[in-house]
Amino acid sequence: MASRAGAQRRLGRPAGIPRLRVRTVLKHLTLGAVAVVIAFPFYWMLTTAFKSFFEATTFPPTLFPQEFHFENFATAWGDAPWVGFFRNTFIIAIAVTVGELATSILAAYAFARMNFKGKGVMFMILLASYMIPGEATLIPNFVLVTKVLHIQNTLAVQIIPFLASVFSIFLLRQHFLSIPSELADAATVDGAGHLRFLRSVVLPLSVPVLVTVTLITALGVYDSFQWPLLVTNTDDVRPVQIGMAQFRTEFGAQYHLEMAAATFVIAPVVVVFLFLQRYLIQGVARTGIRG
Amino acid sequence: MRLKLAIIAAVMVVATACSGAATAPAPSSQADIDLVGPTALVLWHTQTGANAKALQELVDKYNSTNDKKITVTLQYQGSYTQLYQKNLSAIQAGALPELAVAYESFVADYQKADVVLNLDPYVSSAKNGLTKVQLEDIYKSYLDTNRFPQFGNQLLSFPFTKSLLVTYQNDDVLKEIGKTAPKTWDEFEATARAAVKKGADGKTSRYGWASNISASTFNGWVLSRGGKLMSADNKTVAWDGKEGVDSVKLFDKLLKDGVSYVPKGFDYQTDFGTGKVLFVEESSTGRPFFKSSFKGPINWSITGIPQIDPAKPKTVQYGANVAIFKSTPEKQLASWLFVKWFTDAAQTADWAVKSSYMPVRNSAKDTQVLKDSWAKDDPQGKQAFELIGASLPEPNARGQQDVRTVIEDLLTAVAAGKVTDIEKAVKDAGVKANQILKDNQ
Repeated sequence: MASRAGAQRRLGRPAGIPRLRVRTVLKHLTLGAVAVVIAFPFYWMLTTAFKSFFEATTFPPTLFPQEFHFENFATAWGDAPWVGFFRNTFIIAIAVTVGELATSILAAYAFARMNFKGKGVMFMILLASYMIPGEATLIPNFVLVTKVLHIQNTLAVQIIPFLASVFSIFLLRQHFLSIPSELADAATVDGAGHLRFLRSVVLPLSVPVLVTVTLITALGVYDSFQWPLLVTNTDDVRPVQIGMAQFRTEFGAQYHLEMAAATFVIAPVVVVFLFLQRYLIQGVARTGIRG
Repeated sequence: MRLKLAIIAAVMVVATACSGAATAPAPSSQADIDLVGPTALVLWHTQTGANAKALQELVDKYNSTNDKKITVTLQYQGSYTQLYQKNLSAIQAGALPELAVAYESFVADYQKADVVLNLDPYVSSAKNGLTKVQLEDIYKSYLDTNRFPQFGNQLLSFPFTKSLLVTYQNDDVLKEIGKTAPKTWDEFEATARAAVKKGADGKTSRYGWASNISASTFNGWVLSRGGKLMSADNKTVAWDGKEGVDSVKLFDKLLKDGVSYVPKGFDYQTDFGTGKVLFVEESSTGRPFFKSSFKGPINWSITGIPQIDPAKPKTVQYGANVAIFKSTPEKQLASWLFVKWFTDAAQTADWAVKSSYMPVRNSAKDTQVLKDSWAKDDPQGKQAFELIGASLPEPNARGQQDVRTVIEDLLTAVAAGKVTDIEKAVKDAGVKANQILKDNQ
């Protein structure tokens, strides 16, 4: 202790301020800078949503609105059938999330805790399918849903193809593998089968990772644009992201209205994320997945 | 024998020449059938906001007034590129609509799958077609652009949302520097240089020219210098000669001298409205967006782009067309009847007022709706309209979409200062473009 105080004196630091404090300050400064970088686009979106068209497009830009144009929100809301877009988005997001969780939990459990012939090969095939870029399968999938299944321009066409996800299976499998096998042995001794063990032991121990899968899936559906645009034709089955596209033309963009629309479009996502972010971080940390 | 063959050959050449560029339409009973029961059509488009509402109003009017029980349903399909990609997918799936808005290069790609309807029999149909007077009322270049030499010179699409490359000119700035509207490229350069203003800090506070990086704008520069965009056989590009080199050299010189700048996004509209730039070359349809960007009233006008020979002005024609896809004879005819109605003088004038696109017929200028609009709200619209005769179509050969990328890559490299030998760079771009065209034959 005496030698540490001596070292601090040699460095010119008052004895009362520990080394940890400097590190903490640096760490927080770095984190603060990163937070500003991440938060700035949101700040920009929100402030632009209140600006006039002129102010939104002027250069150099203004950091704070000179006048608040609250009417931008009403105008943006009136420019597209948002009620229908939101309804469709929530239906699709809930259906895909519930369906994907159900299939992924069962598949992940099978790959993590059950032994069956060809398990390794099947898992490799599953992972290999994840490596195929989405662009390569876009047209074949479109032909399939249009020519074979005849479900184009429905909510179903935005739900059914996404009821299984390799990423979610992989994420859940990684977590299920970390559950001690002694728990499975104990459950077996108590007479529990696989489904009972899954329901009573595995799932309660997997809440953070389940929330993570839920959030990633729901956000993915909420943000999807290309597939819905391709497979739908009418506003009555389209999601919110298609509405966002309606503020742009080839000759200009209504930035202030676009940002007002972006604000109310992302509001539900921000609320959900704020409530569940703790689970998201835990889930990602436990499975060792890095973004 | 040789003499006989030579005479036959000469007669054939003369006969071909006299027949004009257009292929004679094949007689078709499909263009003359009677429409009985209701016919439902779907039109895929890209319009948003006020334009989408205006288009819907016109379609509603057609649906409620046509006596053939034709019902058109509009379906928005994203940007032009997204619509193009969706159509390519729909061709694979056999799920095309009856009509779709399309650029010429899109139509050429669709027709490779032989899915686009040849409109010649419909246009020339005695029962459902256009009279000679009506046909001549439509701007020739608007029809020429929809004829595809690669596909037997058939008329595969019809003008729908037309515009042209024009110069937006801030008259207040022009007055301040004591200049008049330039007619030639040399005058343009001198005027743009005179407009440059620097602040006390040495930074440029006003530019002479906002030079967008756009293949269409480059094409306009080439045409205005008397150049051509394609060779006579339509198989190789022709913009890689002197006119193309001169265009890129001026673009490069004015950028390097600080007379012009390359805008980001649509910021040139606000710059123009606040007097930070004298000239912008852009589509005539950008008018409402320019106006929205003005903080206060300014004096501005639309003029033709500078020329080598102002007596023979040329610019590039912008805008999309509408293609009808092959379906049943009834749907094909119903689609044509809708297109014919939409491009009639009253409708094209109405559409022009509401959307800022150019009317496709000359006689639209005599409609009260357009006269009122030009007199009260949109004098610049009239200025643009008067330049339509100078507008020429862009190439419609397959592969043109990728050729456009080659041109824009060239301009981007020049703007980034990566090109030292402009003549060689333009030549190399031409070689690359020709290879693309060859691969798409």
